[in-house]
Amino acid sequence: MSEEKEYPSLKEFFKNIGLEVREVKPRRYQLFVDPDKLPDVVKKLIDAYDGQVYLSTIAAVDFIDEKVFELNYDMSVIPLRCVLILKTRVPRDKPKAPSLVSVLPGARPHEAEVYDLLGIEFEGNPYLEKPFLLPKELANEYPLRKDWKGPGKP
Amino acid sequence: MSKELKVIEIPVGPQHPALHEPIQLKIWVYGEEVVDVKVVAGFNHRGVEWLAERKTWFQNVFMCSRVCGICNTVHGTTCSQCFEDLGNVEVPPRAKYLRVLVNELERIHSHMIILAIMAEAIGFDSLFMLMMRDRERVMYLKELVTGNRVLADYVTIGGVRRDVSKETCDKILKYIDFIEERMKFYKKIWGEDPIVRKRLVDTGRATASQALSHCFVGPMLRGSGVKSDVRRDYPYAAYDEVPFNVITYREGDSWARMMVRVDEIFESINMVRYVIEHLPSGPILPKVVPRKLPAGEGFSKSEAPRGELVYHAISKGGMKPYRLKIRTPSFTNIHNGAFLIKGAHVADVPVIFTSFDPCIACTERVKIIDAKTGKVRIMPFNKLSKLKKL
Repeated sequence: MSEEKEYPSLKEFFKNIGLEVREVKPRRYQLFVDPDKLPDVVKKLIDAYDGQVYLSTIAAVDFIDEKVFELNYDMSVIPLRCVLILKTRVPRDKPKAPSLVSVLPGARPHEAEVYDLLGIEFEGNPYLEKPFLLPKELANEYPLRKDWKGPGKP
Repeated sequence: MSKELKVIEIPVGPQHPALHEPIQLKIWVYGEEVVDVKVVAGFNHRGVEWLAERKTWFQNVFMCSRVCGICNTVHGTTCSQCFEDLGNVEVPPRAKYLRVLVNELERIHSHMIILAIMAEAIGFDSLFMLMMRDRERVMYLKELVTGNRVLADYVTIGGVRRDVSKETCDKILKYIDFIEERMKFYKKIWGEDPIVRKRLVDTGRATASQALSHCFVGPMLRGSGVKSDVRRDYPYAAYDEVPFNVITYREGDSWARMMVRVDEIFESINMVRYVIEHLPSGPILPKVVPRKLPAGEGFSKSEAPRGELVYHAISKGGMKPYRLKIRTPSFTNIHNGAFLIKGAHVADVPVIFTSFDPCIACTERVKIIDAKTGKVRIMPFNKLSKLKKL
């Protein structure tokens, strides 16, 4: 994994796979991806940059007015020294997204955390458990959902 | 008494006063060998992200400093940067340099404490005492600059809260020379001492591709030979102007991870000197700092002593964030790094786990179940560490 190797820019990479990426701030790129296509896009990204890509976090947001959960996958691309935020949205009444564990094993605790706090199920992640971080009393509750009123309150 | 060995489950933790927070490692052992491991977390989950949605932007900076005790300044810095990014607040150059100064002082004392804890874990108690004694000098410097030796609350939205005087700068330069001399001595011990090397070399080895696919960050990634440092890759504060080297070691074992930290202390010492010599004049805060921030997204990451720290804020405008996501480096390093414990000896578990620099407590008292007799013994952490034959 030499640093000298020339890698395509993120704009070129996404153009080749038929997507358009936007540079929102210097060294920070962002784009919306369909949830079903996400593992495939991440796989191609990892292959294109010789595996030098890691997932920093998944910032999940409950947009209750729009009835969606937004998932922000904050990725770091080491050779390009930049941040890539892959955004995807899943409906609030059917919170399911495909898991990245098969392409990036490091996604395991991030997905488990989102599942625990917001209840978004990542299909294909065998390690999801509830409670993961929460105490046992909150095993059936999702505190970061905007309609959560407190422990034990429906 | 049967001579057959069975796979036994051993709970390691969750109480451990030597480290900072509670966590449990469930390990399954076959004789001396660990065959499986599971991390049980959540003993210290305080709901900070939930609370952040109910606090104002300024209150959040103070609350986020309390996410972690050792690396509180870097939390304050990253949180402030995230909100500055959201509100397009310009930080004066002097404040940027002072942020680098305090963050590097914090890195020195944080690396020194984990080196000291590792020394204790391998049974080298005199090294632990000496390093903790010298670390106190750095804490004193941090107190001189920020007003408090641990919880600094130094960084705020737009800049920093206190300026430094000429006398303080002179004192920092004088003390930092002393720290450098001591660190040269400690580097020799960490690099050459046969006992240290026998305990650390080849324990918990991770290859570069494993480190990347398991999303390791910070010294764990650099200890496996991957050149990745947020200060270089995604510069913040004044890191694009301050020269430094990114330290990497190719070995990928516990020793490499500790040596990355030893060498980073020397880089940080040079950075502190550079900052003091090139400190720009001017204000430390902008004239106006907004109390309300616009709708949008703020993102910031920084190189905490333990690795990459990420803040991601979503705002709908107003006084409070709609959502604030905090990802600490230990979260990914502990959960994803647990596989390194598989295949190790029981006595290596504390060594490998300490080499992650976990910001969490675990193994002060361990229940050892004798597989042959079924007898249960409670053993302190330091005795457990000494079990491995040298």
